[in-house]
Amino acid sequence: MKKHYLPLLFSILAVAGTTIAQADSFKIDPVHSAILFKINHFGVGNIYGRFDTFAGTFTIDQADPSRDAVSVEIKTDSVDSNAPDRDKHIKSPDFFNAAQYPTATFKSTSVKKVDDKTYQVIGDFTLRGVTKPLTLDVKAIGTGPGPKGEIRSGWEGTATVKRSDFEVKTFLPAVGDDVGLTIEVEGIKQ
Amino acid sequence: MNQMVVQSLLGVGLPAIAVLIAGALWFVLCREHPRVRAIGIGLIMAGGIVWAYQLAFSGLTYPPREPGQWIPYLAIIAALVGCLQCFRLGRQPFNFALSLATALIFFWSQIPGNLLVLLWVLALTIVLFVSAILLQQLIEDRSSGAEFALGLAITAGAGGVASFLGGSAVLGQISGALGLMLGAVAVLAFFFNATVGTVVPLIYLLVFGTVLLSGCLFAQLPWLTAILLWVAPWALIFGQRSDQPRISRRAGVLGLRILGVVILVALALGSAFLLAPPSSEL
Repeated sequence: MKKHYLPLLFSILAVAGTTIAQADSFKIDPVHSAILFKINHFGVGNIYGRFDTFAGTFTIDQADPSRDAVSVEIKTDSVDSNAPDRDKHIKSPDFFNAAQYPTATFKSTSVKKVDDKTYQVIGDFTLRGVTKPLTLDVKAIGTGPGPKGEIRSGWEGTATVKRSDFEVKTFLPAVGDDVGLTIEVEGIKQ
Repeated sequence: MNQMVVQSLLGVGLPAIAVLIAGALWFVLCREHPRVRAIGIGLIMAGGIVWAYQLAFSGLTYPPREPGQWIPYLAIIAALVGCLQCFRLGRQPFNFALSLATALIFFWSQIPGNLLVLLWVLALTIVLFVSAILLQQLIEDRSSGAEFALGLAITAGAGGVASFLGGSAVLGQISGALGLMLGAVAVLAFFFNATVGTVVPLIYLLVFGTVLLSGCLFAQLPWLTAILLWVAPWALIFGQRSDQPRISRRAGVLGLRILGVVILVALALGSAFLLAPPSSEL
């Protein structure tokens, strides 16, 4: 009987070993994700906008969160603030200068686990050719099978950036300096 | 009044007032010295551009990474080179070097392995170089100081409106400030019946050229509008100089000579309104 259990034992150990050693990679599904921003307008209200085109990946290692990684690339000319004329202005050299700087990027450098559902993702955020450190407060939404059986993992990250740090200073202070970022992503396991 | 509108008006108006006051003092001090007057008014204009840029962009960017961020530095470089030219130190080689440097500011990062970009650099260098020769020649041979500065002022002011329509309020503000500063120089040149020298046109060319090209490449300023604005000052070639001794006669000739510029500028603004209709969302 012992002989029968040995292969099973080895298999379990092998699977467990693989799980510990391997991190899961996910590709961001843009259809079920959103990158939103919020900015104060004249001190009386907040304007919300989003980026329609972006891509990215993230890696999750349950055993060792320090190996987790996030990388997102946003097309700046896909900004959508629900006002086409304003979008034209935001893409101009007054704000993003999207023709010269077509992408904004975030690349994580380290991840800290706060609790089972909450992490701090520290990385480099590049906008308009300027790179500054940025910390995203990230919450796990859930992980499980999608409609086609694929494994999906959902996360929500928030951060605040000072646009003046990235040489985007037009209409300060009438249009606020602090920009709230929300990155809501659903990734498909690769 | 709207906070942003007040901010923009101050950004356009304050540098022009400073140029008017400092320029008036300089014109009084250097009434009999055209070369020194030209150098001083050039340096005052460059200072005004730097201040206007600081007001528009909430500070200077160093090192500059975008063509627009070069504007204050180009103004200073143009003023210094213009000063050297006043002492007959190789005008055309300096003009060529400045034109090439301005073209490279826009395209240097895209040049490696890209023949089309190299052609762009060549074309822009030639346009700026020829424009510098012609404008400096125009003010020396064909134009009094007042009509020349007024022609440039109207063009740059219209460039401000066109840039705003083309989607960049800040480029519009800088062009508007340049226009109003040139307007202040025109007022001084008119009342002192004096020429403004060859430093001012060099500053105008580099600053206004950068504003227009940035508007076309990075915002949505129509190319037709930019070209019409660029050629508008050449209309001053027609007619006689307006430096008659009597103010009333001087004003009459000035009005007639400026007409061609006004017509071209009106066409440019018309094209901007048609091709980039006004919007007010922000």
